[in-house]
Amino acid sequence: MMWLRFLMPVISVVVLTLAAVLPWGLAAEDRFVLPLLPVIAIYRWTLDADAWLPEWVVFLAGLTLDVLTQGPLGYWALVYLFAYAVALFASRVRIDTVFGRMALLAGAIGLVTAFAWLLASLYFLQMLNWAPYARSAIVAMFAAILVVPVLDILRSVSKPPRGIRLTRGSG
Amino acid sequence: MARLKDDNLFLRRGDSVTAGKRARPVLLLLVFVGAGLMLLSRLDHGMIGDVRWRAASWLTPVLQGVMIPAAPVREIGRTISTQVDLGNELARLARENQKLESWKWRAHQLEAKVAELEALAKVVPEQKLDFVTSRVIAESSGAFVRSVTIDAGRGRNVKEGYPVINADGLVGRIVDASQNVSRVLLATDLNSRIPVQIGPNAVRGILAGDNGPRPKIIYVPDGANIAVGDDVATSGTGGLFPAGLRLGTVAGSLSDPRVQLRADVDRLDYVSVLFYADPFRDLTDDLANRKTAGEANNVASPVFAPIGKPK
Repeated sequence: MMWLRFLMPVISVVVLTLAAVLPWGLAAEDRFVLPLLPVIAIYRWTLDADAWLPEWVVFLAGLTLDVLTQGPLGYWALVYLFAYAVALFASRVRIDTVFGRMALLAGAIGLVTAFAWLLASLYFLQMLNWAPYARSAIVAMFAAILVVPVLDILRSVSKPPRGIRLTRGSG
Repeated sequence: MARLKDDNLFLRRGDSVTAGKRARPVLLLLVFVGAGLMLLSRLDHGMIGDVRWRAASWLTPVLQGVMIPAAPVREIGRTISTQVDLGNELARLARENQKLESWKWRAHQLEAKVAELEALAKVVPEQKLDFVTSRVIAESSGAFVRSVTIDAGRGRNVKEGYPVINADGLVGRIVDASQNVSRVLLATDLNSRIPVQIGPNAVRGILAGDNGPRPKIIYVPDGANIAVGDDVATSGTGGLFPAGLRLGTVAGSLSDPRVQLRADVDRLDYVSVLFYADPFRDLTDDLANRKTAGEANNVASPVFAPIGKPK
């Protein structure tokens, strides 16, 4: 199951990206929460030193979303890369409590949503209504409470049994 | 002695590395590529649109596959929302049914009268519209666009410009069509402009989307007699849409009139594409052909050659 462990981060990001464009019957203004779900996965897997989720996969996931949502190419690619960069920064912050980690994730979602709003405003050269973005960020923070444990389950399922085998650290 | 990098030379799998991952130069490169693509999209570069639509067509089978497990989840969600609204919906339907019963009788009478008058006046019969019904496979409702992708394309005779309706009324029109999929620009989209007629006086205006749930009515003549609740339907002006496709009712304030669409564009399952060819297109093509032929004649025929033109 080595390949599964290797590909699980990519699979989860791709699945959440595709789910973001499916017609779920949500109101247009509430749909913005869906593209934020891959942000949770990107953040989670980037924090995991063992997980394989390179930058170009994150970029391609965003680009796929741009293609399928008919938005400007590069928009979601940049937002997801920003999420990746935020996660890289967060990986250097050592927090031991679950509550602390979730608070950090909530902060990251808020930051990424603010960046998405700023980028969209820059694209249109006018300040867009921030309310739908703020609402979606809050919903995404609550969604993270469900998504993160699922990703943790996927991680534990795909992880090989712990042994005493020593491997070279990547740093 | 060389210092061990981060003191983490030997780790058990699963142990966390405190130092975390590092940003690589490729991240910066990808940021530049993303920004470049976004700039090209902003400039509306033709290549971008073409590549995007081709890529979307390739991804269609993937989306259709993902739709299969997603459909039951969506159905559950719809059932829950229906159950929540059931009481209000039944009361609304009962009221509407009562109103429609009286209108039904009146409509039959008027229909017979119109048919009689049309026969007397030898009116040219209306164009019968063929249609194809298709499933919505993807939605895109972000800050930029309001559109849906349907699983019918050129292979099912769907072409750009065709109007798209559902049981409640007009939804939008086809703006891109490939062999198997098409993109429908919804009436709520920022770029959507639909010529409409409003109310019993058939006041003309343009329904303009602004990415909000209720598109606005613009270019209404000064002093036009419209009221909140008036029906709004396509006027047929310009030939893009057939006349009489219902859209919704006037809502909001009359200083900034908006339209409450009858069709719930956020919850589209199946839509029908009307095979409505713009009648003016044939006319303009015909005129253009005649003009070209005339120009060709001017060149070929010595009769029309300008007199005294130097050789």
